[in-house]
Amino acid sequence: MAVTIKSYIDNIKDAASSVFEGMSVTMSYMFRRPSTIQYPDRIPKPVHEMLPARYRGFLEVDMDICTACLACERACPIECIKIDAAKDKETRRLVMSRFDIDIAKCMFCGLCSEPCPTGAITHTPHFEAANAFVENLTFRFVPQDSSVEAFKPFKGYDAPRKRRGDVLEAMGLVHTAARTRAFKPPPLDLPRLPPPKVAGVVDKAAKFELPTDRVSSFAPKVIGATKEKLAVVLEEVMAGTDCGTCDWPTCKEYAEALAFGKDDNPHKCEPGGVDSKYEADVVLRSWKAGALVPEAKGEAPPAAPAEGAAPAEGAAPAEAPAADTPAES
Amino acid sequence: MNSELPALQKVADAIIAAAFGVDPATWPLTELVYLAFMGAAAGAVFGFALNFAGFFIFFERRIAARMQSRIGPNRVGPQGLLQFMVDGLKCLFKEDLVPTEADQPLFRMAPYFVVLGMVLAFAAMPFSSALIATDINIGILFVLGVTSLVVIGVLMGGWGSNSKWALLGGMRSAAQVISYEIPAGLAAMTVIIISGSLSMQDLIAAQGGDGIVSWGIFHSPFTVAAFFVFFVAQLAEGNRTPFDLPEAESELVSGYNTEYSGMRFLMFFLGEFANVWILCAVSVALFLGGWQIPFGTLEDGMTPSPWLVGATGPLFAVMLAGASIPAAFIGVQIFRYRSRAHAAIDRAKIPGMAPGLTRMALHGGLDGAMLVHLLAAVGLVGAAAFQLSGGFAETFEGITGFAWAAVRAPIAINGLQFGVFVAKTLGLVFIVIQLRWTLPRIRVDQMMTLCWKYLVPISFACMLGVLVWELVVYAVPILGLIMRVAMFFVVVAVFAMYVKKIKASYDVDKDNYENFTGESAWHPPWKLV
Amino acid sequence: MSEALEPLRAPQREEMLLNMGPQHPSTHGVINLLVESDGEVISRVIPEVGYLHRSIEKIGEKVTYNGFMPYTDRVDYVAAMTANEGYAMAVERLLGVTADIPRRASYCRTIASELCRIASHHVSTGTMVMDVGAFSPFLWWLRERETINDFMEELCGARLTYNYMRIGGVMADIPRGFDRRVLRWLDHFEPIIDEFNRAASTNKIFIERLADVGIIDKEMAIAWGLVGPNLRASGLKFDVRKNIPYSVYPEFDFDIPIGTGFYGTAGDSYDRFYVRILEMKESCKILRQALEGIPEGDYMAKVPRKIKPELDEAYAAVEAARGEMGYYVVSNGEENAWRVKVRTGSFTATQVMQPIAPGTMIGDVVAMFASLDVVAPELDR
Repeated sequence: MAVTIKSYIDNIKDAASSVFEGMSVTMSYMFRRPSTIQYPDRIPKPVHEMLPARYRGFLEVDMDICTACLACERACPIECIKIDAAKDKETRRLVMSRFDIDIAKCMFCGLCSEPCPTGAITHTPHFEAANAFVENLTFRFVPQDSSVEAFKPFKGYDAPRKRRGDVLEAMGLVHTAARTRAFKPPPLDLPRLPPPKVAGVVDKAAKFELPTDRVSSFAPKVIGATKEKLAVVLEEVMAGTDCGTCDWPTCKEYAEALAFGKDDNPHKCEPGGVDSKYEADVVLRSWKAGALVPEAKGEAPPAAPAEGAAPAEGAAPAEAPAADTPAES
Repeated sequence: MNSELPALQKVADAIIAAAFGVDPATWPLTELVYLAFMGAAAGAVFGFALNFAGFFIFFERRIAARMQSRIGPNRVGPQGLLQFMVDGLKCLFKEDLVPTEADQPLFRMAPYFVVLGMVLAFAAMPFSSALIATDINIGILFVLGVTSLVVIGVLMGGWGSNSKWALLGGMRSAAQVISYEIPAGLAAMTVIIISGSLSMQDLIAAQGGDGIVSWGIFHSPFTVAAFFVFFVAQLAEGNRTPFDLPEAESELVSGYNTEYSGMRFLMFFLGEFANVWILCAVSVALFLGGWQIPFGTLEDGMTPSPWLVGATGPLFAVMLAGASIPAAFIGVQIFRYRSRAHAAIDRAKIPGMAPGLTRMALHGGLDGAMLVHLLAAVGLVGAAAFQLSGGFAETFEGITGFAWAAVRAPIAINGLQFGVFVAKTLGLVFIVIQLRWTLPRIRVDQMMTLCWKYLVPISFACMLGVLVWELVVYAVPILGLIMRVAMFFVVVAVFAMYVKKIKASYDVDKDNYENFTGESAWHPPWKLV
Repeated sequence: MSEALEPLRAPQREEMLLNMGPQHPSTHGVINLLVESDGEVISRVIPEVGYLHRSIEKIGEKVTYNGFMPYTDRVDYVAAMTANEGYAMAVERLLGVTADIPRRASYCRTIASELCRIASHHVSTGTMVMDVGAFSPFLWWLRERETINDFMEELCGARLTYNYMRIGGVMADIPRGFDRRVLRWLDHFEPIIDEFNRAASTNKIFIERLADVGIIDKEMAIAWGLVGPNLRASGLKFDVRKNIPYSVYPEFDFDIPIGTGFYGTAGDSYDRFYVRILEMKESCKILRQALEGIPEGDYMAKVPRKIKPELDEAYAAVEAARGEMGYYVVSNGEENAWRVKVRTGSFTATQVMQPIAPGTMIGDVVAMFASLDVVAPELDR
C-alpha cells in the first residue's frame, strides 16, 4: 500500500485515538462492580442455595417411593445406575438388594429422572464431588447386605411426575442427603467393596429361559376362567410398578393386553424378574391349554409338542417383534 | 553545573559538619561515614528494586483483575498484599530444571544477566536530590546502556534453551530492543539539549524553577511528542504490551523463558518487573521533572527555596506520622491474632526444648513484638507532635549539642523529593499496567515499521524542533514561559477529556446494569467484594 | 501425513518445523498445526487432527435415540443447544413428527439456540482478541457468557452440556420470569457490544493485525466448503435459517450480516471477526421477538417413550454457531440408530489453513486460526 502523508498522519491519529478510547473503557472498569464471587467461603450463602431449582447436581433417590421399575437404569446412556431387584420368595414383594449410582461416571444429563413414574430419582443442587477416594462417589441407596422393599403404587396412585427440584423449591427446601453422602470420611485402608451377593438376583443380560424346577401358584387359578379373571390374575403376577417397560402405560393394561390377545409376549415384565416372567408365561399357556402345562408343575416339558403350544418368541425378550405401538393417550 | 561532589557525599558532609561540628575534610572518620552511607544506599536501592518488583506483581494482578471485572489476589496478607512472597517462596522451592539438550552454561547464566542489567540501572536512579547511589556524569547514557544488558540475558536464555519457541523469542527480543534504542536515544536527546548535561541530577535540576510548567514535557510541543516516543520506545525495551513479542503467550507459548522454572524463572520475572520501574523512572526523570515537586522551587538539594527550609519542621512531622502507620498496622495485626497465635504455639511440639520454656519464650516474643510496634507507633506520633511544637530543635540542641535543624532539613527535603518521585513513577507504572491490559500485541513486521517509519523520524523531527524552539522562542524568555503554560493547559485539557470519557464509559452501562442485577454498579478500586 | 512431512526432514531444507499444538495456548483444544517456517515467515501449515476423537458417531449407534442427546452436547460444547436441536430435528424427521412439534417448543428451542449462539460468539470473538494479545475484552465477554450460562442453568439445570432438547420438544418449559430477565439482560448487553467495539474491535493495532490477513474470497470459500460465519465473511449470503428455513425462524425479522471488507478486503480475518459481532446483534433481535411473541401451549409433542423409527433415513441441518451443522441418521427399526453422521463446520475451516497460511507470520497464523473459530471436539467428534 502506498503511504501518503495523509495516510501517515491518519495512522498516527487512529492509533492515538483508539488507544485513548480503549484506555477509557478499561479505566471505567476500575470503578465497576466485579462480577466474580469468592467461592467457596466469602459468599453470602452456600452456592447450592443460590442454584436454580432445575440444577442438575448429584442424583438422589427417595427409596420410600422407588418402585424398582428400572426405568432409570435403562434410560442411562452410560450405565452408571445399577439396580438389583427380585421378588422375595415368601412375601412375594419386589425387593431391591442394590441401588448404586456411580456419580464419578455420571454425566448429569437428567435422562434418568424423566421416566421415573413416582419422581423418586432426582437431581440435587449439590455438585462438589472432590474426594480423596473415588469409591466414595458410588452412592449406595440400599445399605450393604440388606434390602429395601419396593414401593407399590396403590390403585389410582397419581404419581408426582414433577421434577423434584420444583417440589423442593415450592417447599423452600433443599436436599442435603447427597452432600453428607459425598463428604463422608474416606475409608482409611481403601477397601474396594465387593458387589453385594443376594439370592435371587437376576442377571438381566442373560436370555430368559423358562425355569423347570418351579411350581406355579397362579396357574391353577385360571384353568377354565374367563378372560377378565385371567387379566386379574396376570396383573397380580406383574411387579406392579407401572414402569412402562412393556410399552404399556400400566401393569393393568399389560395384563389385559395379554389376556385379550393384544400382546403375545409374556416376558416383558423386567421389574418382576424371573418370577413374573415365569408366572405370566405358564399362566397364559395353562389358560390357553385349559390344563396345567408341564412347567407349571415343576416338570420339564415334553420335547417336541411344547414348542408348538408355547409362544415361539418367548425365549428371548430382546428379539420380540417391534410392531407394537403403545397407545400413549 | 555545580556537581563537583556527589550529592550523597554532600549530605554526609553536611551532617558531619552540622552534628559534630568538625570539618569533614580533616576528620579521620569521614571515610568511614562515606563508606557506611554508600553501603546503606546500595542496600536500600537493591532492596527497593526487589520489593518494588514484588509489590508490582501484586499491583499488576490487582489492577488487571479490576479492569477485567474480577477481584484479584486477596487471600495472603492484608488485601492479598503478601501474595508475591508466597509465589516467590513457591518458585524457590521448585526443582531447578535444565533441559538435557540445553547449552548448560548459557542457560544457567542468562537470568543473572537480566538481573544484573536491572540492578545496575538502579545505581544511577535519582530518587531525590541526594538519594542517588552514584551521580555519574553520563547518567542517562549509562542507564540506557545497562538496560540493554537485559537483552543479552534474554538472547542467552533463548539460545541456550535449545527450544524453538525460546529461540524465536530471543530473536524477536534482540531485534526489538536494538531497534528501539534509536528512537529512545533521539527522544532523550531533546531534554539533553535543553539541560545541556547527561547527568541525571542535572537533567532533573534543569526542570525546576517555575514549578510544574518547568518540567521537560511542557517545554515545547516537540517535547510532548518526544515524551510519547520515548515512552513507547521504553515500553518496547521493557518488553511490555503492546511490544511483548518476545514472550507473546498466544504465539510463542512463553517465549524466551519457556524452558525456565523455579528460581531462574523467578529471576527473569523480577528482572522484567523491575524493568518497568526503570522505564517509568527514566521517563519521569527526563520529562516529568523527576523529584521536582510540582508547586515549588528546588533547584538543588542543598540550596532549596527558603519556604521549603522553613517548612521542614512540619514536613518532618508529617513523615514521622506517616512512618507510624505501618508500625501501628503491624502491632494491631499481631494484637488481633494474638490469642490464636498463642493457641498455635501451645499446640506446636518443638523438639529439643522443654515445652514450658519454649512456650514462655515464644509467647513473650510475640507479645514483645506487639508491644514494640505499638510503642513505636505511639512514639512516632508523639515525636511528630513534638516536632510541630515550637522550640523543639533549640531544646534538643541545648541538651545534646546536636544541631537538629541542620540535619532535619536535608532529611525532610529528600524525603519529600523521594515521595514525589515515587508517586510520579507509580502513576506512570499504572499507565503501563493499564496499557498491558488494554492493547493487543503488534506483529513483528509492524513492530519494525512502527520503529523505523514512525518513531525514528518523529523523534528526529522532535530533536530538530527543540533545537529551533530553543533558539527562536526562548530568545524571548517570557514567550518561552507563555508557551510552557500553554502546553501545560493543553495536557490538562487532554486529561480532562480522558476523565470525561471514563465517566461516559461508566455511564453507558450503569442504569442497565442496576436494572438487570439489582445492585449498584459503583465499586471503588480499593474495595474487595 | 508421513509423506507430507518428508520434505521437511530433508537435510538441505533451511526451514524449521514447529509443532504448534497439541499443547499450545492458542490452539484452543488439542489440535496440532505443523508449521514450517523460515524464521518468522511461514512457508507451510499442515493441520493435524484426531487428538480429540471420542467416537461420538459410533456411540450414536450403540445408545438409544434419546440416550444420544447428551452426546450431541459434547460434539460442540461451546454451543451445545444448536447441536441438540439438529439431532432432535433429524430424529423427528425420521419419526415423521416434525409437524406435530408444538409451537411453544419451537420457540423455546429458538430462544435457547440464539442465546447459545451469542455465548459461542463470545468465546470465538473473545479468544480472537486474546490471541492477538488483548486479554481484558475476553473476560468482559466471559462475564456476559456467564450470565447466559446462568440463564441456561435456570432453563435446563446445566451450564455447559445442556441436554435441553428432546425428540419431540424440549425438556421443560421456560421458567417463570425467564423472559423478563433475558430482556433486561439484553438491554444491558447491547450497549456492551458497542463498548467492546470501542475497546477492541476499532483498536488500530487490532485492525492492523487482522485486516488483510488470511483472505478467503467467495470462490475459495465455496471450494473449501466453508460454512457459517466463515462463509458469510467472504461475502456470500448463505444462512440455513434463511435459505433452508426450519423451526420458527421464518417468523422472525432478522438480517444476515456478510463481510464487506470492513477495514480491508472482503473475507479477511477481520471480516470473520466482525461478522460474528454483527451476528450477535441479530441474535439479540431474534431473542427480543421470540421472547415477546412466545405462544402458550405444550412444550412436548406426543412421542412414544421408546423410540423405534421405521427403516428410514433423515438429514436435518441447523445453523449452528460455527455454520451448518447437519445430522444424518439412519434407522433399521431398532431402538438405536444404525448410523449417525455429524457434519460440522470446524472440519473444513481447519483445512482452509493450508492455502491461506503460507507467506504470513507466526503471529498471523494464530490470528487466522482464531478467526476461523475452530472448536476441537467438533473437528474430531
